[in-house]
Amino acid sequence: MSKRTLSIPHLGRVEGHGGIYVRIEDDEVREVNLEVYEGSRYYEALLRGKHVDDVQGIITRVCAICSASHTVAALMALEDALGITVSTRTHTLRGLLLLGSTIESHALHIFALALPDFFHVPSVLELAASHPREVTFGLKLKQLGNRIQEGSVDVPSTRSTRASEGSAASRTSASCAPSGRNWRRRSNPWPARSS
Amino acid sequence: MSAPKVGIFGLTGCAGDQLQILNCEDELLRIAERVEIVDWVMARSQNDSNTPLDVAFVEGVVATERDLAYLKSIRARSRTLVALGTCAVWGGLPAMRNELPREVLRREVYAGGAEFLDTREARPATDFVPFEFRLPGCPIERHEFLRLLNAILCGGKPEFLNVPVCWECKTRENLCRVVHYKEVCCGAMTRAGCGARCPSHGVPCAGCRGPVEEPNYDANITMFQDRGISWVEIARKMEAFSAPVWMKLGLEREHARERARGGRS
Repeated sequence: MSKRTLSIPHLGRVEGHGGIYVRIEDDEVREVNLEVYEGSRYYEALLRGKHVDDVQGIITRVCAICSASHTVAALMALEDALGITVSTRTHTLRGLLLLGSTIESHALHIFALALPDFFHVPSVLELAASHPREVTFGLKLKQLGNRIQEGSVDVPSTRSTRASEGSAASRTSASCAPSGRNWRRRSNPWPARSS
Repeated sequence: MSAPKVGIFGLTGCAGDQLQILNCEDELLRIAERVEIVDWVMARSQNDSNTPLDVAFVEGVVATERDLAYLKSIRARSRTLVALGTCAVWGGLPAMRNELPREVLRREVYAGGAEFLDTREARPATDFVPFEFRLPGCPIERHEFLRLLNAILCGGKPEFLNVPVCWECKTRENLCRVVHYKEVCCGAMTRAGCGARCPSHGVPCAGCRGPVEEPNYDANITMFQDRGISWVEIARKMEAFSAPVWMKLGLEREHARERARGGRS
C-alpha cells in the first residue's frame, strides 16, 4: 500500500490566508483538510450603531480586490432600507465602477495569480522575463481597470489636466489623483447638506 | 553585489496594501529588477520562509495568536521592517471598537459553534515589534510606497510631507467641509499624502491615514462644537479610524459622559 501526503501550509497567489493537507493512499484521496486561518475582523458587529453615512466607507474596506462591489452592495442595501431610488446617471456610473473593478480583478487573476501555474513559474515576475510582451499587456489591462475605478482614464477631456509625463512617481500620483479641477469646477454632484 | 532580498507579508486585513504594490503596474517589473522578492504569499508560490531578508513589508493588524507569532518570526529574519497601511501602523478599522470583548463580537457574527476561532483584540503590528519605517494609508499611496522603497534601496530616509490633509485640500482650492458645509472633517488632524482625495470629491475626510504629528484634537473639537456639531457626531466620525490613538486621548470617556448626560445623538 502506497501512502502519500501533500501539505501546503501557505496557499500562494490567492487573496487571503489558508493551507491545505491531502492524504493519499493507493492513488485514492482519503483525507483533505483545508485550513483557513484568516483573522476575524467582525465587521458585521462593528457596524452596529454606526450612522448610515459611515457604512459605505467601512464596508468598502472588507476586501481590497472587490472594494467596488462592496461599496455598491452596501449602498444598495441602505437605499433599500431607506426607500431611496437613485437616478439613472448614478446607476450607470455604478455600473461603470463595477466594470472597472471586473477588468482589474480579472486581469490580476489571469496574469498575476493563475497564469504562472500554467507556465510552471512561481510568480508573474518570472513570467515577465520569458513573456515580457504578454505580461506588459496584462498589466496595462489591469491598469485600465484601476483607472476606470479611480476616474482617471485617459480621455481627451481629462488629458489636459493630467500631470506631464515626468518621473515614475509623478505619473503614479497623477493617476491616483481624482480627476482634474475642471471637472470639479463645472459641477458639484454633492450639494451642501442642510444641517 | 546581489539584489536585496525582500519579503511582503499580510497579517489580518484586506490585502489592500499588497494589492497597491501590484497596482504599481508601470513600475512592478522594474522593481523586480532591483530587488529579489523571495517571500510574497499573495503573489508567489514556492516561497522561501527562512532566508534572512534585507527588507520586509508587513500589512494588517494582529488579530490572532498566529498573526503575532508570524510577525515575530518576520521581525527576527528582517534587517529593515516596514509597516504598510493604517492597520499595521495605527490599528485601522478592525481596531475601532476594541472596548468590546471578542467573544461578544464572535457570538454576534457567527452565533454558536465558532469557539475554535483563533481571535484576539485587534491591535496594530507596531504595538508588538519595532519597525524601521511606517507608511500609513488606507490603502497606502503608490507614489509614497515607491518613494519609500527607493529611499531604502539607496540607503536613505524618505522625506514625506509632515502636514495635515487640510494643507493639500487648500492647494486644490476646495471649499472647507467644516466651515462651509458644517460637517465633521478629520482633515486637520490627519496626515497628508492622499492629495485630499475625499474632500476633493465632496466627502469629508474620515481620517483613514491616521494622525499627523502633534494633532490638536482639542482645538478641532472646539471648532466642530462652535459650528453646532454634537459630541456624539464628532466621536462617531473620529472613532472609525485610528481609534486606539484617539481613545487614548480621552475622546471615548468624554463621549460616554456626554451620552450619560443625555446628549443629542
